[in-house]
Amino acid sequence: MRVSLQLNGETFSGDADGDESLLAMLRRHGHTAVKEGCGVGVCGACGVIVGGSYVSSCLYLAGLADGAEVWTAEGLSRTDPETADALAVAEALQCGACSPGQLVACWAYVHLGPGVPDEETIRHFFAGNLCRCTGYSTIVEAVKARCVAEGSRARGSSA
Amino acid sequence: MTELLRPAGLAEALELVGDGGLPLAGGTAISTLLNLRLLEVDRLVSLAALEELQGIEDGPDGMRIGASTTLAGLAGSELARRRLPHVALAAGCVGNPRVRSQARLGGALAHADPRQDLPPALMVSRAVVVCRSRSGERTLPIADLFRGHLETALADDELVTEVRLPPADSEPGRRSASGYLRFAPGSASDFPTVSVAASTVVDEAGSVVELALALGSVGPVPLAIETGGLLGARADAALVEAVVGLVRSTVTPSDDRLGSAEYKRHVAGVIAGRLLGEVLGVPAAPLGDGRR
Ligand SMILES: Cc1cc2nc3c(=O)[nH]c(=O)nc-3n(C[C@H](O)[C@H](O)[C@H](O)COP(=O)(O)OP(=O)(O)OC[C@H]3O[C@@H](n4cnc5c(N)ncnc54)[C@H](O)[C@@H]3O)c2cc1C
Repeated sequence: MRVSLQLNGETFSGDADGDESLLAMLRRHGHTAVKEGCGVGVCGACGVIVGGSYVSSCLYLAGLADGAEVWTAEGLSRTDPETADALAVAEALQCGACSPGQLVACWAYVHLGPGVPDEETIRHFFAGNLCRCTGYSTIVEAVKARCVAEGSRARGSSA
Repeated sequence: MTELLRPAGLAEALELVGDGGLPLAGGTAISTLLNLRLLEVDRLVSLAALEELQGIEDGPDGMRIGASTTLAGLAGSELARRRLPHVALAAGCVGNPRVRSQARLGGALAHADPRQDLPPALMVSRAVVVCRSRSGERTLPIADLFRGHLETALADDELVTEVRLPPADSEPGRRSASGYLRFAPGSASDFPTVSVAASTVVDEAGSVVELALALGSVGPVPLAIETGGLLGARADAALVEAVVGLVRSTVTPSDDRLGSAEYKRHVAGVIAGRLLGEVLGVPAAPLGDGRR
């Protein structure tokens, strides 16, 4: 089937089998910012935003994204460079395999909710994003910092 | 080659499913099976966007939750959190945030994995599942939906369209409470080793007039505990202790990587006692083996 969508703000059109995942289709068309990890929705490496929802692209059928707006780490780091900066500043990465997924998760946490700089809430949310290098603490720090910055901006603009 | 169909309305979806298409809700379970090469399918019928299957409403006749409500939507719904806090809580425990924003109520029920969080929570609230096929509609008490591991009472051409819940107990002087507790010692994103939901009503005199308890991960289907013999008892530590014993003698868990059957039987008693103590506002039962 033909799948047409907005990918990172640009028009994308490609073919997909009815049972092909969004992950497989995007990578087949050269959009490799989205990574394959476990392939069963557990690790978070393939996280993307589809139609305003944060999902695993390995479990999301490509055909269901037809007509939707899709954002990967590549697009989000362009429109929201502060999230990528927060992860870099906190040294929230080492080998990099999970990083695109961590970035999408961080963006989702800040912009789609819960959005609060609370350690337990962050750790609960990020239980779905495996990282084998950092030990998670620096990732939690980055997310906290990003929430605090976003919160003070919101307060500033509403004042 | 798999065909992915996106019908515009429920009537069309019922026709497509009646002609052999496989219902597709969020697709988290189906995609897992596809990715693991455990499923091959000719036609998938997407239900997620169907208008008729959306919405959470409350009225004098009770509550209605559309089958295509996402688990995140259920967990975050003001109405669900007020009326069915234990159901909203259970929905918010499923897997990880990505699963919750993709998976739908209908899929969460029809998947029928006995480790799932939502079924026990819905069972203690006497949920009824509404099923439709092109030949008509029927309703099933939720406990009757589950027939075995990944097996339901749904016919191949039937769709879950919504879940209904009875109106809240409004008799003056009575106190209703409910809760959900899952034991997942590894990670919050794991399936629970054991989980338990409870719903109680206590009258002015302090006697229990309703007591519903259901557990997940303790057998091939989510398990409701038969508590009839305890009705009328005082809501106190002795009752909690009796329920702990009842739970341990009823559950039929099996050995797996999360623990032995014996261990899970013990844990089932511990978390059932802890939850019921909390829900009734009485001191928790002893956490030992219940034989003291
Ligand atoms: C990474 C991961 C972690 C998980 N962790 C947990 C957990 O901790 N706790 C938990 O409870 N669950 C967990 N799950 C399971 C999860 O609950 C199910 O995958 C999900 O609820 C299925 O819903 P869905 O909408 O995605 O269903 P789908 O995958 O679309 O469908 C599942 C089944 O239901 C059928 N179906 C769907 N909708 C209908 C309908 N309306 N009428 C009739 N049949 C229908 C489909 O044909 C299919 O057989 C996890 C899943 C994943 C992938």
